[in-house]
Amino acid sequence: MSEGQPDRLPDEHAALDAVSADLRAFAAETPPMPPELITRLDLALEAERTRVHPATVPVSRETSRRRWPRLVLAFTTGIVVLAGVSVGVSALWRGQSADESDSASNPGNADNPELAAPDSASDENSFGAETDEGPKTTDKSSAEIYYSGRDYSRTTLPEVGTSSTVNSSVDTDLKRLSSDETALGACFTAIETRYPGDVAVADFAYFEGAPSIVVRVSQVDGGQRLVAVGADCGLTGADELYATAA
Amino acid sequence: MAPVSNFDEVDDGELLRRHLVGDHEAFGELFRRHRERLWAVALRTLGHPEDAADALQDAMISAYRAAGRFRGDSAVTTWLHRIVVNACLDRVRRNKVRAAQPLPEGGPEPVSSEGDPSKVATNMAVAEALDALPFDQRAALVLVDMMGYPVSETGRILEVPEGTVKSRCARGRTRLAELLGHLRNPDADPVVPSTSPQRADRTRGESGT
Repeated sequence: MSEGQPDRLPDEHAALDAVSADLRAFAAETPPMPPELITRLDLALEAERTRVHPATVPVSRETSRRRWPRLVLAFTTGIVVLAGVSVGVSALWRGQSADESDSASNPGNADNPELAAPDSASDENSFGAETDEGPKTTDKSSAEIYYSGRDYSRTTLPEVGTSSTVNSSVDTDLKRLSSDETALGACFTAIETRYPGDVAVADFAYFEGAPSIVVRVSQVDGGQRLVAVGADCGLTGADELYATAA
Repeated sequence: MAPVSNFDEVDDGELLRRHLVGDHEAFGELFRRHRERLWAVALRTLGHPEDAADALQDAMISAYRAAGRFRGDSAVTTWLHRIVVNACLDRVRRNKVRAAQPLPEGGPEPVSSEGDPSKVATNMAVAEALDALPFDQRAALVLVDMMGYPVSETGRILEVPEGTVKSRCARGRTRLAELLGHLRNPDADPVVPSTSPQRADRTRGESGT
């Protein structure tokens, strides 16, 4: 009889033993971890390992090796925008000097509080000033940040980064992320931990009515993934609302 | 501390300690040792490979970050299992909140179509029936009946008394027996259509039981 089985009638015993036998047989058919999952976990662990170690002091700027964002913070409610134009209002600069990095495979500290504003952002409160040039990118690879305010659905998610819809404000629920580069960096890190790769595009918007940042991730395996995350992104995880392969 | 490449003689607790003092390889080795069993727990508890993969990754990162809070009250492997089960529970809750949304990819774990057709059908029925159980019963059955862990160990993983594990298992088995048709006719082949979980549910509903 199965462990943890109270007294029962003989028929019930037989039935419950049959259940246990079914479960054992089912367990015997458990497939091993898929190789791609092993790779994914290894990558996630490597990313975590280089982010922060539980027993170490905070990583200094000099020792941080991650390309992490130098983000134009600069979103101020009410400012904006060029109607009818897709506006990339800021960029995540993956700048780092060559001497900072001893390994290309070794990302840095997303939680680094010393993230700097972009070199070109002379006025961090006027991100709109950059919009006439569209989303800013650099040759060091950058994420394009949009504030479309669009309400994406599962079918329109692939259009992230192409929308011409412009909204003049970010939903209140997303202000934590739009106004704090560290918070947004942590959010991107959470997304990239789940889907190893780089956030290439992010749009402060809605997903099926919920305040959301919709991102496109360029994955290390060459694929792309579209992810809608909620307002709690970066707090305890990505707060994923929806994800799909692009 | 310099990384140690050969961990053969190093126990789990020592790996965790080394991780905490900066051995960058130690946690990876610790997780590698147990990941297949942790994967099995996640997969059988959640039923969906994509969800199981997400839960396992969440658990791994949680364990990595929380290593300093491990007090040694239980075995390291027990602690890892507990984190995985909690990650599975988090995912179940998340999926409930977003029940209207489909999974990112795929659906329930595809049961292998190779081998004895009746065995395949039984496994499909068992998978569906397990999915119909409340999480606490499913987790207990996965750990006790499927993974073969003792009730005492399962109690430590789930952080509940042994009696609770037993009652969860008992209730879960009873429910599965109903869903799989064993309880009405213990000798019946559970793979015949009339004993599929959905069919069994309908039958009960029609009979008013």
